[in-house]
Amino acid sequence: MEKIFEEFAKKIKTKEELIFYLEEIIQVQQIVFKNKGVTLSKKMGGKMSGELKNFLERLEKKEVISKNPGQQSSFLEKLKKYLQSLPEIKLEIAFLPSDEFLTRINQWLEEEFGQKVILDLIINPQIVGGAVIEHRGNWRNFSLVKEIDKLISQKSL
Amino acid sequence: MNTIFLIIASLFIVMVLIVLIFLTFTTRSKKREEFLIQEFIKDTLFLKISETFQKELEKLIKEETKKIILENKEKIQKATDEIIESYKKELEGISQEVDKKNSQFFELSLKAQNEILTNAQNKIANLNEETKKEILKFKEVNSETQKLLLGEAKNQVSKLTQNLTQEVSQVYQVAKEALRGQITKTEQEIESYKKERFKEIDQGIYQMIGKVSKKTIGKAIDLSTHEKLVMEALKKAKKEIF
Repeated sequence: MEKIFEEFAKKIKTKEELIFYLEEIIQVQQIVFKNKGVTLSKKMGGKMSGELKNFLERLEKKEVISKNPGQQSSFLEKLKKYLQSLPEIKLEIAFLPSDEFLTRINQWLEEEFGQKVILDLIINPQIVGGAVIEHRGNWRNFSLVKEIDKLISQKSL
Repeated sequence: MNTIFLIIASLFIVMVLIVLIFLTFTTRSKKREEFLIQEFIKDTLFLKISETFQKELEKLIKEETKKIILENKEKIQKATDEIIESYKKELEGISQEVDKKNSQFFELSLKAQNEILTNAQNKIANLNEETKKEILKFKEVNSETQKLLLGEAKNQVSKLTQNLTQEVSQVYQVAKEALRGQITKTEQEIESYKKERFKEIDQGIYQMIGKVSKKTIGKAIDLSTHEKLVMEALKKAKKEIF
């Protein structure tokens, strides 16, 4: 089951995306018990995003998820908890990153941490360049603005 | 004026007296005539007098009376003339005396005036002379006093000038020292102020540079450099906090 969740989690790069999927999961959980004996993907209809629906359909075909509402609910709850338990890194950068760059960061972090890491991304042009990074309460400023301020204060002394 | 008034007054009195005398004599003549007539009437009471006689008598009486009146008039005229003559003489005498007195008085007053004038002129001349002498004396004294005062003043001024020069010199030295100290202090303050100002200006400049740099560098960096910087930051973070 872990691997199934990991597979889904690969699609998620940022905290914004994570919240989006978590909200969808919660919405699906709300309709789980409405039509008994119907698959989750059918219950969702066209209301949900394609990613989550495709993911659920694949699992339904593999009979990982049955038509039993109880089992469906349990699966959704586990998925939600898994996603919520993923470690986060707050990353403040000066530019709007491309999807490719975000994927590269995600891969690098996954390699370094040995697991999926969600990026809590903040775009702030005032840091000029570099990044301000926070992980589990530890904070570091590797921005260019800090370097410029340091340089100016050294010069003005 | 007084003399003329006296003469006129005297003449008036004389005229009044003459009139009074004439009236007295006239009254008396009439009374006498009546008296005689009365006496004659008394006598005729006892004597029967013829009308012719009576007429004659009356005529006689009238003539007699006229005579008496004429005589009296003459006497009165004579007396009056005498009196007038006497007064005239007396008045002429008085007038002459008055003129004489006036003349004497005029002469005396003229003389007195001349004397007074002469005395006054003499006195004024004397006074002028004395005044001139006094003025000369005063001028001499004044000249000496002036010389003395001038000499004294010169001495005093000389002393004062010396003292003043010394005092001014002392004050100048003190002021010079104070001023020098003040200048040094002010120069130090200016230097300190300059340094502070320059520092402030430098800070301002650097802050400005910083602001400009922050605005321009961020825009100037291309996307690949941004990505590279982010990756470097992540690698540093890995070492420090991951």
